[in-house]
Amino acid sequence: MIPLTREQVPATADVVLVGAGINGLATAYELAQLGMKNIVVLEKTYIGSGSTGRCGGGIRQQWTTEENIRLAQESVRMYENMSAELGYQVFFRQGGYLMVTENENDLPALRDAVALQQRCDVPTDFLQPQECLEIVPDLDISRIKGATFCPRDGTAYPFAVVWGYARACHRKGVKIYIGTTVTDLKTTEGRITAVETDRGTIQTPLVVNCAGPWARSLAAGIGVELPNRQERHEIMVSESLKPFLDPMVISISNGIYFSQSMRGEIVGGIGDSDEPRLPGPSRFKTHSGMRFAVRFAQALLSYYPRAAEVRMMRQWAGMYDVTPDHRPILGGVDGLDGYFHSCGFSGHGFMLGPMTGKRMARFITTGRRDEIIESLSLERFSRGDIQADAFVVG
Amino acid sequence: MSHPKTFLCRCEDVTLEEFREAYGEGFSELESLKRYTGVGTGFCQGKGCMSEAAAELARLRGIEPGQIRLTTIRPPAEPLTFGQLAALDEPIFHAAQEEEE
Amino acid sequence: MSSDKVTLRFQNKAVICRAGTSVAAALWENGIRVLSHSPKYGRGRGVTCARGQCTACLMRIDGIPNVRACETAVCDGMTIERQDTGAFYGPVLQKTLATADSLFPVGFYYKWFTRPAALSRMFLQGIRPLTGVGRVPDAPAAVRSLPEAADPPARPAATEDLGSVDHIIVGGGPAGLEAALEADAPALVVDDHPSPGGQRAAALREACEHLGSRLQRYPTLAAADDRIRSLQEKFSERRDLRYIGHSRIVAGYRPNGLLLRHGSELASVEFAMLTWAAGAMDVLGLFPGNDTPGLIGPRALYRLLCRDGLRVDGKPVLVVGHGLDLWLSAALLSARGAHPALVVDGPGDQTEISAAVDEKWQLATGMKLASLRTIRADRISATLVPRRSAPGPINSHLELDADLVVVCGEGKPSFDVTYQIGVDYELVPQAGGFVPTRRTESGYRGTLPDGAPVAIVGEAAGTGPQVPSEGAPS
Ligand SMILES: Cc1cc2nc3c(=O)[nH]c(=O)nc-3n(C[C@H](O)[C@H](O)[C@H](O)COP(=O)(O)OP(=O)(O)OC[C@H]3O[C@@H](n4cnc5c(N)ncnc54)[C@H](O)[C@@H]3O)c2cc1C
Ligand code: FES
Repeated sequence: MIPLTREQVPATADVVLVGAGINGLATAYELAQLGMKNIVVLEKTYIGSGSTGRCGGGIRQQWTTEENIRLAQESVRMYENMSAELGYQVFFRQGGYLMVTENENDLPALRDAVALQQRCDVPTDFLQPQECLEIVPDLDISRIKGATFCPRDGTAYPFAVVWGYARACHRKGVKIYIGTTVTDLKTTEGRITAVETDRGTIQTPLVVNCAGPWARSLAAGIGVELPNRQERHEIMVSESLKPFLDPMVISISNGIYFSQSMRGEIVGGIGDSDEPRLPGPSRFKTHSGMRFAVRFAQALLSYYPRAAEVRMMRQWAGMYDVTPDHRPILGGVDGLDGYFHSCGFSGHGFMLGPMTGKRMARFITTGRRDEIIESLSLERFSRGDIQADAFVVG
Repeated sequence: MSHPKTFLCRCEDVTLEEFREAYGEGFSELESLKRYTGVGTGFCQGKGCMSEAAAELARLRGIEPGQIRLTTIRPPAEPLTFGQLAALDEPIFHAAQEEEE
Repeated sequence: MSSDKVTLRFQNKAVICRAGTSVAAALWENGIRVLSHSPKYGRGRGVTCARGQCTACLMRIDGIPNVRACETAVCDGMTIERQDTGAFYGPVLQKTLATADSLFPVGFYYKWFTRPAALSRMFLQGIRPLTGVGRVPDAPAAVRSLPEAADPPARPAATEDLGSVDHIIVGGGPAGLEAALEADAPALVVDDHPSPGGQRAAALREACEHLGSRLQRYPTLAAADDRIRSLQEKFSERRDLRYIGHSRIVAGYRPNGLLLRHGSELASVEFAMLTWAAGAMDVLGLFPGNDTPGLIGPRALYRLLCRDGLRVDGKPVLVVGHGLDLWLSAALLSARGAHPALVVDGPGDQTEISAAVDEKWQLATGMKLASLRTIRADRISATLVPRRSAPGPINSHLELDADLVVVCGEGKPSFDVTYQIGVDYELVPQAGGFVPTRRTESGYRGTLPDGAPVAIVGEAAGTGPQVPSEGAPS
């Protein structure tokens, strides 16, 4: 079904994608959809082993900039059809996102965001604390001052998404190599010529850097300087219980988020402002911490006291690939033909991946930048065109 | 009467045959097999089955058991309630700042 | 009602049992062996590890889901429910699956009902109520953890003053005690048994007393018992060594942090040096019916008999395997009035075999377990076949019925916490599972990534029970 080969890589390819996370695979799939041949995806460990397999699977449209709202909206449409499109069940469940705040001062911003989202046709509503109980009956609302709720936000199972893309890619002739590390990109006279791996060299005119937290060091090898930083984020799952929690609950006050997966587990994490942003070397610290377990448990019980006797099963950590404005970096680089990147997704690459994959594929095959690729290009940082979103949580 | 099954993972009810089937579908390393079949993701935290699954994978791939890459084992080693965890006082030490892989 | 009896409510019916035992043992003695049903196939599962390390005994107790019945002490008025309803496939599908599992290939839920999008959504809505085991807790309630002896878990200024320790030794069995005695500095030994000695200590003492003068015919038992007793004695003389019972290390965090659970309370411990002597787990083997209720390993047997006082008098018990645990299980069972039938899976040691014949235990050699099935609520039928490459009756299959089946062999080294904090492990099936790489015969000695010294000794290092053994068969 998905022959994940460990063989010698082919001598040539029309395009090589580095990284089998959601971005590498979605882009490869869309390239194949557009009729491209000889597509190769290289993955150093296994499918989904990067941020994608470690993420919370949350997909929301509640943002505060029109661009982010539109991007997420487009992705939600894709997720709604993804199981059918890929022929693979990705467990996209629209239980909604309940965003709460404990701070009166946040309320005007919440109301503004709701107004903007509604203008974009996202069905978000502002809720009084009491109204939250209709959505999460056992929520402790004693500190909650207000909330917003969008019923069409939801979650999907990250591994199912990457396996689904991988299977669909395979059907379209895309070759996926696991256990294969790209060690270097080769250029001649401002053109990409080859990709070197620990299993041989591939001659290729096009390479797409979808290496997530490793994208920065891969790009540095050919002199492309990315402003990305790597930030460790922890997450956990509980034992699996019968459904009792429909939406993803997320707090803009303390950065906790939690939902119940299709396996019945509570899946959740919490941001930690003490985590350093690392000027990413290519190796990362992804060990679990006791501090996270305690902080998460305390924050969870402050909103959902009934979980006191529910057990945490496993915790782990992953990396956010963070840019200065928390928006991804898409497109190519002037003066370096054949090089593309799709990285810097910060904490929301899972929700954007399907959509950015589609736009990147169109850009790679036609060379035409659409308004999104334009606005999310690397040059925006030198242009000073930075519009940060206020709702970066988790 | 059903023919009795051989269970590789009792927590998630994964039989030896299902594990082999999953391998046949292309999942050729333990991390993906674990997530696809559920082996080792149950209440015992893999205590009951990870080594059996790894040995079976070595057989399927025809390689030495020692060559199988062990999956990451994630804390805790025994499920702990949020109440128990929340009662621990901060500050709790940070995770190590050294490098992996 | 006299104080040595308590009444439980199991599935809304009153069940009267002995005080001071575990829920799992209490139900067993009342003829209730199926404690849970498995999530996919709905198979009945009974107590398996008796040590909080599996899934088989998860029940809803006093309104809390997924409580381990083997680790929970009975108390008057306790409500106990099976969490059967609507496991993953639902009752009807489970029935179908129990007979025709080929209908549902692995991962079918990823592949079926994906198109069109509307059908996929309906499928998700349909299966959501089937997911999960156990409902969210009713309301906070106290679930007691089981006192292992008559005395309640003494709270040795337990957890408060832990914080950081110089040398922590996890496991108070022979390997852990030996490591403590070798250390020339103060050390803290933690173990879930109430007093030093480890998983076999109580069973050995009782078995040896039962054998009396016949003990000399079981040199392995005598040697193991002597060794533990002398270690216990020396340990008690050393003022600088501290023992905390009823405690388990439940998580490891890099660089040098551990979470210790004492009863239901957690404490964090930072160590300068770690000795991991946490022993091994029972291995039941891969054969058809290897989830039959009543199939256990020797460590579970010792806990059920010595800690919970499980009644086995007059019951036929099949003990299969080799090594110290085979003879120890047999002797302990006969001390309790059970009728052990022994099947030695290797050639076996002549001294013990002839002694066993004189004990009038049923005995076969050169056979191994081929399959098990439940034939009555309290009866298992076992099929045994000749072990290849071992001398013995050829081609003669053996059918045996028993109340309980105990499989004895190499244990599986406990490795999860040390692996979490950075010790390298590799798979060595002959050693029982994952063992530290670069170990020697005396175990493993190394340093953690941040430089803290760590030693792994005894069965946790895959070096087998530290007693003269009869030599494991191939
Ligand atoms: C704890 C956590 C929770 C999150 N929660 C959410 C959420 O709820 N919603 C959301 O939208 N996002 C979330 N995210 C963010 C999201 O996971 C990422 O933005 C997204 O997965 C990025 O996907 P990617 O394909 O770009 O990168 P990755 O998934 O990291 O994939 C990159 C791949 O490249 C491979 N690779 C790297 N270098 C090389 C090389 N040299 N050769 C070969 N292969 C290489 C890696 O092994 C990896 O598999 C979360 C992230 C974390 C860590
Ligand atoms: S956890 Fe109770 S029998 Fe294994």
